[in-house]
Amino acid sequence: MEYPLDEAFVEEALGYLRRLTGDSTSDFRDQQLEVIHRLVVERQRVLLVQRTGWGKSAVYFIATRMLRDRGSGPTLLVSPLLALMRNQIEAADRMGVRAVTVNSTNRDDWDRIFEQVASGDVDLLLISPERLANQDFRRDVLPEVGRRSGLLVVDEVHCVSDWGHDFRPDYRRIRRVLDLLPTGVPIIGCTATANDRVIDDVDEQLATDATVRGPLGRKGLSLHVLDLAHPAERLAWLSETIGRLGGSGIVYTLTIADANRTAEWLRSQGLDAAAYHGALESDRRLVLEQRLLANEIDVVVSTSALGMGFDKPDLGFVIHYQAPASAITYYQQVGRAGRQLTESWGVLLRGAEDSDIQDFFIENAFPPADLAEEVVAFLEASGESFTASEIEQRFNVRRSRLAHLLKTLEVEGAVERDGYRWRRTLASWSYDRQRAEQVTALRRVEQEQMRGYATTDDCRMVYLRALLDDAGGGRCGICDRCADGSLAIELDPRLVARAVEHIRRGYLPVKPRLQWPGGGRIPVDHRNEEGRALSRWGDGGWGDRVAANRSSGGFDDELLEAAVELIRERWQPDSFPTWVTVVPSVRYPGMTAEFAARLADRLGLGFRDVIQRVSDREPQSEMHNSAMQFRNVDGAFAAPGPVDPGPVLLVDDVVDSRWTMTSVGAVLRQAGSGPVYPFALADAVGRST
Amino acid sequence: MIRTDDSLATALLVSRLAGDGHDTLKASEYWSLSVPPGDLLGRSTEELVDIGFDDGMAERIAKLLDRSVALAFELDRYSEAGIATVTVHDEGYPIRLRERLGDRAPALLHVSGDVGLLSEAGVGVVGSRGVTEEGAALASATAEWATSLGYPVVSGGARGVDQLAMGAAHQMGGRVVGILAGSLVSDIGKAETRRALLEGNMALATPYSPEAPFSPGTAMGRNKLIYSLSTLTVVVASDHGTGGTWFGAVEALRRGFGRVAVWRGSGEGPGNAHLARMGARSIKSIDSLDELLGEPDEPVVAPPEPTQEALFTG
Repeated sequence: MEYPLDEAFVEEALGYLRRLTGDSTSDFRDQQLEVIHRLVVERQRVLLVQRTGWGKSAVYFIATRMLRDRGSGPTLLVSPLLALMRNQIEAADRMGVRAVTVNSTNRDDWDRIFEQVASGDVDLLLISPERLANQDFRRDVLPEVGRRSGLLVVDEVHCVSDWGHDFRPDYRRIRRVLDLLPTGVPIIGCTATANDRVIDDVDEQLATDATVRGPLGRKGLSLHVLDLAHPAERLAWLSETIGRLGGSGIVYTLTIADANRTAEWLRSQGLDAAAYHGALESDRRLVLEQRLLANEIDVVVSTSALGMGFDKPDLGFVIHYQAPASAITYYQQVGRAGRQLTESWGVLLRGAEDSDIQDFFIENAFPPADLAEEVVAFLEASGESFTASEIEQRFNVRRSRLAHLLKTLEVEGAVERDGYRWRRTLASWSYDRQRAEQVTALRRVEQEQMRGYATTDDCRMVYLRALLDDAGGGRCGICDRCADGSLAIELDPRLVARAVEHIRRGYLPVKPRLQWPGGGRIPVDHRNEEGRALSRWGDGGWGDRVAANRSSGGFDDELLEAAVELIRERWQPDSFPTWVTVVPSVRYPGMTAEFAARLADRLGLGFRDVIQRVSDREPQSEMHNSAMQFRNVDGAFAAPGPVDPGPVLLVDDVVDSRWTMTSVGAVLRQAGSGPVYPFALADAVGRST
Repeated sequence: MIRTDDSLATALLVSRLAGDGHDTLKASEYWSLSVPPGDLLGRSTEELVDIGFDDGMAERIAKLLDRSVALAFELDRYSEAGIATVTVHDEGYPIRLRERLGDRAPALLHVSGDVGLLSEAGVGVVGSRGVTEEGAALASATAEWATSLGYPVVSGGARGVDQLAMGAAHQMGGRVVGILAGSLVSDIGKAETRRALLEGNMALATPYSPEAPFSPGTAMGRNKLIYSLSTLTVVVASDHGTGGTWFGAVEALRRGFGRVAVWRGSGEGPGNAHLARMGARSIKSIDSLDELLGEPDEPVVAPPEPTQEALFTG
């Protein structure tokens, strides 16, 4: 049905579009004008579902200008990854939309920005959803910038849906605020990835007046799937293939460790590659984004952190080193490739470890019900506020798990921050087991769809579009199901061997603990030095060998040689150890000691088994947080007499919380040893062994 | 809670949240609006003039309604902190306020705890902060008696009589309504108060901003809510011609906000006898409350009387 528009309105809007594009012949796409009219004239709530590159931002930039011309307040744009919108903001400026960002890094500018808002000099304010969770920001900024209301834009609006593949807790707050906005405040929610169910849900949350939806399929994107079980095979494939695909692109990994390791490998093979993830400084991330935008780098190896909002029309390829947990997430990521290229590549490499990692994410998405209830009951009964470490000391839960639990409870409204402390809110709360079960079941379906994508005999683009309930369009004609032309290659066994070596050569620092639980500093002369772990538990390299050796009852010579090579060639501690000792093991008595003795022999050092276990404890892996882990080992070890005063290498098979190493190190120092250098065959932090 | 446009427009017109520099409508101005507040949304100043507002009022209303985004974020922030915002267009608004206070009724309350308690006619217990030992015992005894008869105890949360009465009722597991003249935010920050609110059986409410500090003006505004939410309010001890208790009781008697009883006997204050002469019912023993409470509690619409207010509100 044709949407009726009057001529003057069309003229006005078209003028702005042409100033925005800088092209006097530009014209609107279908439905862009309709959406602008709904916002500007009818002041409606609109849900806009269109593929990336369709021109969603042009719609809200032009609507902003036209609403401002009619006396409205500034537009509030809530969007993740705002730094990436720089180019669009410059374009908006050309048509007279002055945009500013309010965030934690420009706090000094806030007062000036508030004045500009008050005097009408700002047309559009950008804020990130995470900011909406920040107490200071909510108290100081939002009442100021919302004082004159205008258009509200919610980018990536599918995140408000519990049924989305990408539900984000911070979007819940947006959902509640939408309920508190009266008729007459124009609102637009935008997304490029939503199926019928998510659209229905968002429609309800937004109370939309109109949903405008277009086809989501992508032309020119050639989709491929390859099964390469071992990480080394995938590394070899990547370094062989990336140069041949043309252009700059992204390799997605599921973990930060994989991103780092893969980027290092690609660099070692002569490619200009860099790792990108949420733990990087924002400046560093910005630099990488800019280099990728400018095609100054061959490949960025990233976790999902490089995601929403990243807009590079000429991205040559998107390769997944591991399969993500949901096919819709996959589509969202792979769909970034080659929007304005005639040919681009989307390749999924499936590894043997994928489903384990996916399972880990799915199974840990919700904090355990019992624990959530216990923590809430405890806070409720006291009425007081507690720090995370105070709570940790009362419950056997790992610090990162507790942080996740508290964040989840905060979003659910059960607990709140009170400065650096946590307390029970005044809202009633009960653990929503049903919701947790439903969402987990949904994640399992998504995981199955991801598997289905890899194994389908049908066109891969048709399969993905169907998941988004987008029935339009036929077979793509260019995927590995539609056309011949597999990207599988004969891998050079020598290259694979070098990749295996690369994986094995990785090591992890074992940082010394500086404080006892509860806050007391560990005296400098009782602390360990920085140590090393040869591998990460379950990393596909030495980590797998450690696990296999442990079950077969002895650590083999290859592990021994790898340890010698690491210690002698790559670690080189400041004052090289003059003797070796070992942590007495509960589960594997004798096995680690035997290994430590062989290691001492190969290093030409003496081995002295000087540490005794003075009380039997639970295995340390049963203890889930620092306080518990420490209590479990505190006083568990002793040195019966004075020990060698030289620097010492302290060997254990697997390091996790570091409390065992820390306690034994302190015992050694008190007994008169020199500096203590911990060494473990594997680092299993965060993983159950 | 589902918010209607009338509810949100009411909040925009009268709430002082997100309100720096905004001239919010006084209760009397709000109640004299000729159209449902939701109908005002989305209208320009000119359109408001067209439907009959004078220029100044039209401009004020347009400005107030324009802050909807800021207010939405503020309402959400307080709601998350356990403070609900209840307007006359929301379920839970105690209709007794409108019945008894007429155009003096606040169109909006901020409430922590069990909102429903506000709509249950309770027994008000008021008195001065400085209280004698006998007065203190009396405050507790009155609250205990009201609790044993199943009434919520309504008071002002101030030191002295208020806190003694509320504490006594709470101790017995009774229901308590506190109408605050100071910051609701700081009150609900106290561990003891949080525990009580979470146990249920308690509501704390204010017609002012949740962080507004105490002032003589807010104290007077708060007093009329206590009288109008109570089927009977007992003045334990009042000064004569001075203090919030005295002026509150006099105003309630004169304007008919609610039934007023005054304690006569050991522990009474110097103003009690005068209040009795001005029409407050005398109570000489606690059990005579039974009889008074048994009498019908007719709503009294306050006569429109815009003068004299300045005396109390400064």
